[in-house]
Amino acid sequence: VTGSSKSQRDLATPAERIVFVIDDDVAMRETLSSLFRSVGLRVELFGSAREFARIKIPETASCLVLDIRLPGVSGLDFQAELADADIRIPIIFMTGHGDIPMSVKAMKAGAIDFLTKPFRDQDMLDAVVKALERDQKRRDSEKVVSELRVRFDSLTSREREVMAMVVDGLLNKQIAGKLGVAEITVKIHRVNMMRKMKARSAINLVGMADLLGISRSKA
Amino acid sequence: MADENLRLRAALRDLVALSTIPAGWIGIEPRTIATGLADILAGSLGFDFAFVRMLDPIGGVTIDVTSGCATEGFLHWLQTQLSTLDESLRKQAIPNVIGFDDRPKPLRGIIVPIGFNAYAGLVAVGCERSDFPTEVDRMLLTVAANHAATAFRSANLINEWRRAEEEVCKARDELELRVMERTAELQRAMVDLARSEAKLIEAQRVSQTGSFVWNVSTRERVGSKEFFRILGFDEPHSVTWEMVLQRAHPEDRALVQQTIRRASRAGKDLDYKHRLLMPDRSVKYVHVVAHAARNPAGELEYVGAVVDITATKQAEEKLHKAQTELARVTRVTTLGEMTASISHEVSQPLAAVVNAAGACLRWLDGSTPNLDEARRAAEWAMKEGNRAAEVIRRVRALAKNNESPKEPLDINSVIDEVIALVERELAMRHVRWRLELASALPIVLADRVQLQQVIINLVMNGVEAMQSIADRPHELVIRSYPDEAQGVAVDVVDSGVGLCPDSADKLFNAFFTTKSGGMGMGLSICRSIIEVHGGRLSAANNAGPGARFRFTLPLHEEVTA
Repeated sequence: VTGSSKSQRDLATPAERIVFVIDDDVAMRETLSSLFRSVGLRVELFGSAREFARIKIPETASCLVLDIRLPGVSGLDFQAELADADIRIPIIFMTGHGDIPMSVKAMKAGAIDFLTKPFRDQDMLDAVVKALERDQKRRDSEKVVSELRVRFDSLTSREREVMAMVVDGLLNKQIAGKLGVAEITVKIHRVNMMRKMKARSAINLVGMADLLGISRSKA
Repeated sequence: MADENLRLRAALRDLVALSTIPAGWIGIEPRTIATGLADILAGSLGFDFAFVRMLDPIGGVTIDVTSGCATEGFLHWLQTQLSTLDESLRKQAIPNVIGFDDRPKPLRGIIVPIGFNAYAGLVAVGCERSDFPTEVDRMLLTVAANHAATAFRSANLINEWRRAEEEVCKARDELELRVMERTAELQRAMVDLARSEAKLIEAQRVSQTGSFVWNVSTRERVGSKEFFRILGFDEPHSVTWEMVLQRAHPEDRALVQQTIRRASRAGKDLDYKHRLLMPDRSVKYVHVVAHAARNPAGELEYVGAVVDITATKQAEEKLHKAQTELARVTRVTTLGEMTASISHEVSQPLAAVVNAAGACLRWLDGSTPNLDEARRAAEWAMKEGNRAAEVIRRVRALAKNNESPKEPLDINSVIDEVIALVERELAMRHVRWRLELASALPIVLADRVQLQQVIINLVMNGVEAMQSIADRPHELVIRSYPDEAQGVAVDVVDSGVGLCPDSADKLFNAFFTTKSGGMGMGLSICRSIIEVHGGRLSAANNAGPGARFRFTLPLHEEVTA
């Protein structure tokens, strides 16, 4: 098991992708480690779910490979625990039993894949790559939204009102009428709002509103 | 002179008359003789009164007869004489009494004995003649008395002869009766004998037991019908011992010969089993038991029985086969119940092998091959491949039909192997287990796979007994230690629901189960396995919660000796 100091140091190189492996079988852990490292992935190994729960997941694309039947806690329960804690790391389950009801549950709960041991090494690598890509995407989109949130937070309350109405497709004159102000005043607010939001067009702004979860009817 | 002549003539005539009497008296009873004598005396011989007393020898009865008339005085005299004269009569004193006055003419009397010592009686005669008794009177009386005595004697003889004859008859009748009785008895006995012989033959036929007598000196064997039937000889006749030996299976013949020779030389009883090879090439199993004894000639003789145990043997073999098959089915069932665990046991190392091999290739294929990593991955592949193979070997051994031979083994190694098989299952079911194995235990001689089966069964039983327990940890302990009898004991202790007192004694019965899905064969088979190994399997409740199953195995002497 890799120490946390190493994880902290690695935070400096966000490009590195990490695979976390939880298995109580040392052979399984070590051979998966070798397999992932042979394709240039970083691997962190854990003997139990509890050990994994103690570390902080670094801000880099990562995924979790674990046996669905772990001593102490079941893989499905652990998946639910992570979801409750809002840890949205992609999970690849392994099982020695070809347990179909369990695999359905796991997939519904958002697992990337469900591999029955023994599995083809390439299938595992494909699943891991897919999981890391999804995690990367999620991380990217989360980054965009958080930037948009910062921009949105910088708006004045009047500018937010104007934005909501623009997203709803109202003209400046209609907005001025609704707000009871002069049309020129609406124009000034709108220019400031579009600059702060870094929106190139009204359509661009609608997309941003969608990402921020601002519905048109709400405005 | 003329008178004298006349008198002599009359006397002669009387004598002749008297001499005819005996022929008439032969074969006559004393009473008739007495009456006849009295009539002759009082009638033919002309005496006025005659009294005859005869002693009937049969029963000692006295017969008194009178003829003619007597005066009272005479009778009185006679009575007195009789009461006093018996003694003198016996002494041959013959008193003469003369003169009685109470008749117109006085009656003169005389008493004469009949037979020597008057053994047959006496005669009294009364006569009015004044010259009575003359010589002639005396002579005639004596002759008459003698005749009577002779008749009496012959009558007695005849009587005795008749009596003897009667007795002979009676004896003969009795004898005949006895003979008849004896004959009837004999017949009954014969019937009984025939019946019991028939019963014996039937019993021998039904029990397939033949009896025989074998004279070691004459080498002759005499046997019952069944004996010959078992040996396959058509005619019940006496056969030589060589002929009997010829029937023994060629593979057993030398052993039979040796056994018999050794026993007969020592005059010891025989008890052995062997096979017979019949003329139709079929094989029979027989059990021979014989008692050694000396016959009256002092020769050694064996009296014994041959039992055809072919059917028993075949039934035993079938039973053994069925038990073996049942044990195998139970093993396979147990394995089936553990399939999830076992497939995990195999798939785990296989997955590791695939990972390692894939990794190895990738380490080698890189632009700068990493040989160290490739080697490490290859080593893992090797190690895990062997691990999978070992699991498969163990499972296959458990599922195998044939019995593996008994071998000297360390019970702790068997326990370790079992744990390797069930470890995963225990972890799955959240059972905390520990081993308390004594070191340097004696070696036992056992069938490894069967012992594994027993321990797996006991462990799985323990696990199931703990499944419903929620308020305390599920703990399983397997303990090995030397037992009091210098053998080995193994305890499998759980912390489960324990044994119900009602079921404790039924626990090891076939088809007894407290589980809804159980066949009830597990413990029954475990016990027969342990018993076949000469050990014991028992169960008891712990002082605390749960139950303890214990089996013992005897020490393997040859190895430790």
